[in-house]
Amino acid sequence: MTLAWHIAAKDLRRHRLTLIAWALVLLVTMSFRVITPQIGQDPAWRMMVPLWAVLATLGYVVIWIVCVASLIQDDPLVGSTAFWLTRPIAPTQLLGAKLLGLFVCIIAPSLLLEAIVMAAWRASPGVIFVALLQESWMLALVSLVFMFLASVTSTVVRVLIVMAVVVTGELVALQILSAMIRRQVAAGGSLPPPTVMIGLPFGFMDPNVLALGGTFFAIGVLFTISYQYRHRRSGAAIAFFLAVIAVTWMVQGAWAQVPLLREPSVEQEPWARDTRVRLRTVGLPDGHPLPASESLVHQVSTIVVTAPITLDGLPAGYVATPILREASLTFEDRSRLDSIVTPRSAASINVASHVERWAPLVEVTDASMQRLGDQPAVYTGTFDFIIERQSPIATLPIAVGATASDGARSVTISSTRYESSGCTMKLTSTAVALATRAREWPELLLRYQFRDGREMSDPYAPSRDNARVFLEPRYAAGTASLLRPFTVIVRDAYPRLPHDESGPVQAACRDITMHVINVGYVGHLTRTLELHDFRLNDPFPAR
Amino acid sequence: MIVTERLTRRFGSIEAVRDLSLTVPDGSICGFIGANGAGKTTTLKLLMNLIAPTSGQATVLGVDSRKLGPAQFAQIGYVSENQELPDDLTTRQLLAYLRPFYPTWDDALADRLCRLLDLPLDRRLKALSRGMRMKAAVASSLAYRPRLLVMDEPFSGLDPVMRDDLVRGILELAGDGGWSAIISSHDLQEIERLIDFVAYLEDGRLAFAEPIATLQARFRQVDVIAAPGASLAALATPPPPAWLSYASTDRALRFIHSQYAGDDTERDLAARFPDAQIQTTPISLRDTFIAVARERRRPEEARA
Repeated sequence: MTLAWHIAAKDLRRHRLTLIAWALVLLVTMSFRVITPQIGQDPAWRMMVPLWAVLATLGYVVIWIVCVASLIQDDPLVGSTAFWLTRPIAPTQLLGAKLLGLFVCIIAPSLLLEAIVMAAWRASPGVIFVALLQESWMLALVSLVFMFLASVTSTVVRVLIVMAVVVTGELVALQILSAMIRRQVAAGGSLPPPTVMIGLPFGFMDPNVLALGGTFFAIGVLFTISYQYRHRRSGAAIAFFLAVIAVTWMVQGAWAQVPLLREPSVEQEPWARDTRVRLRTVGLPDGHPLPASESLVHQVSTIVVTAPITLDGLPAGYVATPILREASLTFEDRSRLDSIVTPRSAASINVASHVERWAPLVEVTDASMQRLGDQPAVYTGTFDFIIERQSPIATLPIAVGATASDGARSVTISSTRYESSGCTMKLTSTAVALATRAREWPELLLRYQFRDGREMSDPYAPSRDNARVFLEPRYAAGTASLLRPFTVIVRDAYPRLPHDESGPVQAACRDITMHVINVGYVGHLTRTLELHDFRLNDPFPAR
Repeated sequence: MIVTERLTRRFGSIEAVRDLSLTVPDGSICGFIGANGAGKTTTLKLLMNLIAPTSGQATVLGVDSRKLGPAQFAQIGYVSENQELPDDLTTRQLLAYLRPFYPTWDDALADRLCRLLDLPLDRRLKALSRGMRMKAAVASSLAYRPRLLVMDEPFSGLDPVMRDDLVRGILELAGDGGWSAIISSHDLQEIERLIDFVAYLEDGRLAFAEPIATLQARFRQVDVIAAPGASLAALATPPPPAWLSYASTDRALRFIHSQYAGDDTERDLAARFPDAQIQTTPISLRDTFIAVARERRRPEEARA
C-alpha cells in the first residue's frame, strides 16, 4: 500500500496541471447546475448559459478522459520501452496505485463537490449518502472504461481518437440503418414506427438490476484491465473487453432473476392479480373513416405490426409500458410462425405522455409478410410490462418565471419561444429547469392541457394538434446526480395563442397549464395477449 | 547468470533472433556485439521480459525470463537508449522515487555516482541532453548495486567525455565485484576496456561467444613481405578460410588470421612463405569485429 501511494503521489505530482483543469471544470459544471435554475428569467443570461453549459459539459468529458489517460499512460502498458517494466514494480501494485490515483483525483473531488452542494440545498445526510453512492458508482463505471482504453493505447490523443471513432461509428451505423429503411420504403414498403430501446442497456428499468448489470460490467472491465496489467497483450485485452460487453448485453434479462437484487414483487400486489392485457381502443381524429368512438389503431409496416397495448386494472397513477418478449402466430393448418426477436422487438414506442403505450406485436420477414399476410391466425404474445408510478410535481402556466415546488423538488420555467405567422402562434419550445433534493431522480413528463380540456403530449397519436413533444435528457434513476438541471424542450406544437403584432400576449399563455410529473419505477409484470382472427396485413378486420 | 536455449523471436516473417543458445558466465562482463539489425536489442528485450520469445527460453538470475518479477528486477539494472524515463522528474526526484523499491539502495553510492557523472540534480530529465539522461539512467540503475547490469547501446551518440564518465560509473560498481553485466554496443573501443567475455551476433544467430582473452589470442594481423625479387601471389592462392580481410600485392600480403594458435601458426606461415618476412600483431576488438563482419558480408562464392 505504501508503494502504491508512492507511485500515486508521483502521478499526482506529474499531472498536477491536468488535475487542476479537472478541478476547474468540476467547479464550472457544478456552478452551472446550481445557477441555471436561478437565472431563467434574466434575458441576458438566458441565451448564454445553455451554450456555456454545453461547452463546459464537453470540456468536462474531454478533461475527464485526459485525466484518466494521463494517469494510466504515465506508466504505459503498450510497447516495450516503459520505464516501470524493468523496475521492481509488480503489475498488481501498479494497478492498485492507478486505481488509488483515480479515486483521489477523479472521484473524490466530484463527490466532495456534490456533497457540498447538496448540503447547501439542505439535503439530509441519508440523501447525500445515497446520492454519493450513485455518483461514485457512475463515475467509477465510466472511469474504468476510459482506463481500459488508456491501457491499450499509448497516448492520450489515441484514446480521444478511439472515442471519436466509436461515436462516428455509431453515427455511421445509424446512417446505414436509415438508408436500409429508406430503401425498403422506396421498394414499396411502409416505415416501421419509430421506437426507442427502453431506457437502459442492462434490461429492465429496475435500478437494482441496472446496478447489478453495471457492477458486473465494471467487474468485467476491471478484470480486463487487470489482465492487461499482468500480461500486456492489448489484442487479447480488447477481445476480453468486447466479450464483457457482449455477455453483459446477452444476459440482460437474467439480472432480474438474481434473488438478492430482484425487483419489487409486483405480482404479489393485490391489484396485480386483476390486471389484464388488451389492445387499447383510442379515439380517432375527425374525418377518419372508422367510427370515432371505439376503434383499434394499429400500424403495419412491411415487417412489423404495432399497436397500442394496455394493462387494465392498474391503480390510479400507475402506467405500464409493454415490451414484447416473444410472439407467435398459429395458422389454421396448425403451422406456426414465430416472431423474429430484434432490438425493435424488445422496444416500446417512445410515448411521452404515458397515456398510450404502443409496442411491436410481431415482427416477421418481408417474405413471410407477403406470403402469409392475409391468412387468419391466432396471435399469442408475451409482454413484460414495466410498471411505473406517476406522481405530479407541479402544474404551471407556461410563462417564464412560473415556479412550483413540492418540497423536495422545485420547477421553474426558464424560457419559452414563440413564432408568429398571421393569426397563428407557434410555441416552439419551452425550457423547464428543475432542481431536486429527492432521493430518486425523477423522469419527467410534460403534459399540456388547454382550458377546454384538450391535452397535448403524445407524439405518435393521430395528428390532432400536430403535437410533438420531446423530452431531453432522460436520466435514469440510480445513475444521475441529484442536482442536475433538467431541460425539457417542446417543439413544433401549434397552440393557437392570442397575440398582437409585437408577439404573444403573455397573459393568454397562462390559458395553457403544464403538468410536470415524476415517474418512478415500481416493478414489472408479465402477461400474455391472445388475439383470434389475426392477419399480419390487416390484424383486426372484424373489429 | 544468463543462459539462453534456442531462443527465437519472430516479427511476422522476420526472424530477429534465431536459435540463440548463449551462456554468460557468472561474474563476467559480456560485450554483446554485432552489426545493426543483428538482433542485439531484441535479445536484451527478451532477457528482460519486455517481449516474449516465439520459442526457446532464457534464464536470468536463475529464473525463466518470462517469470521475472519485482524480486529479480530489484537485482537487475537495465539501461537502454530506447527506454523512456519519467521526464517531468528531476534527477533528484527520480532517485528519490526509485529508492523505496530497492532494499539494497545505497544513498552514499548514489551520491558518489551523481558526483562522478557530474549530474545536475535539480533539472528535469526532459531538459537534459541525451548524454546526461543516459548518465541519469545509469546512476539510477547502479545505486542499488545490481547483481546483473544489462545495457543496450549505452554509449550511442555520446561524446568521448560522456563515454568516459559512463565507463567510470560502471567501473565504480565493478570495484565491488560479485556482479555480472551484458553490454551491447557499437563502441567497441569503450567496451573493450570493460568486458571479459564477448558474444557476436549476426543476423539473429550467435556467431561466437568466448572470453575476450581467447578471442584476442585467436585473432592476429599478419603482414607478409616477400624477399627481394620473389613473388607472393602464387603462394597465397587460394587463401584459407581462416584468413580474413585478405589484401595482397605481388610482394606484400596482409590479413587477419582468425585461428591463430601461436607457434603452430607461426610455423605454418613460415612454411607457406619461405624467405618472406612475417610479422604477427595482436589486434583490437574493433578490428576483429570489422574483419569478421566484412568476411560474413562477402558472398558465399567469393568466400569459397
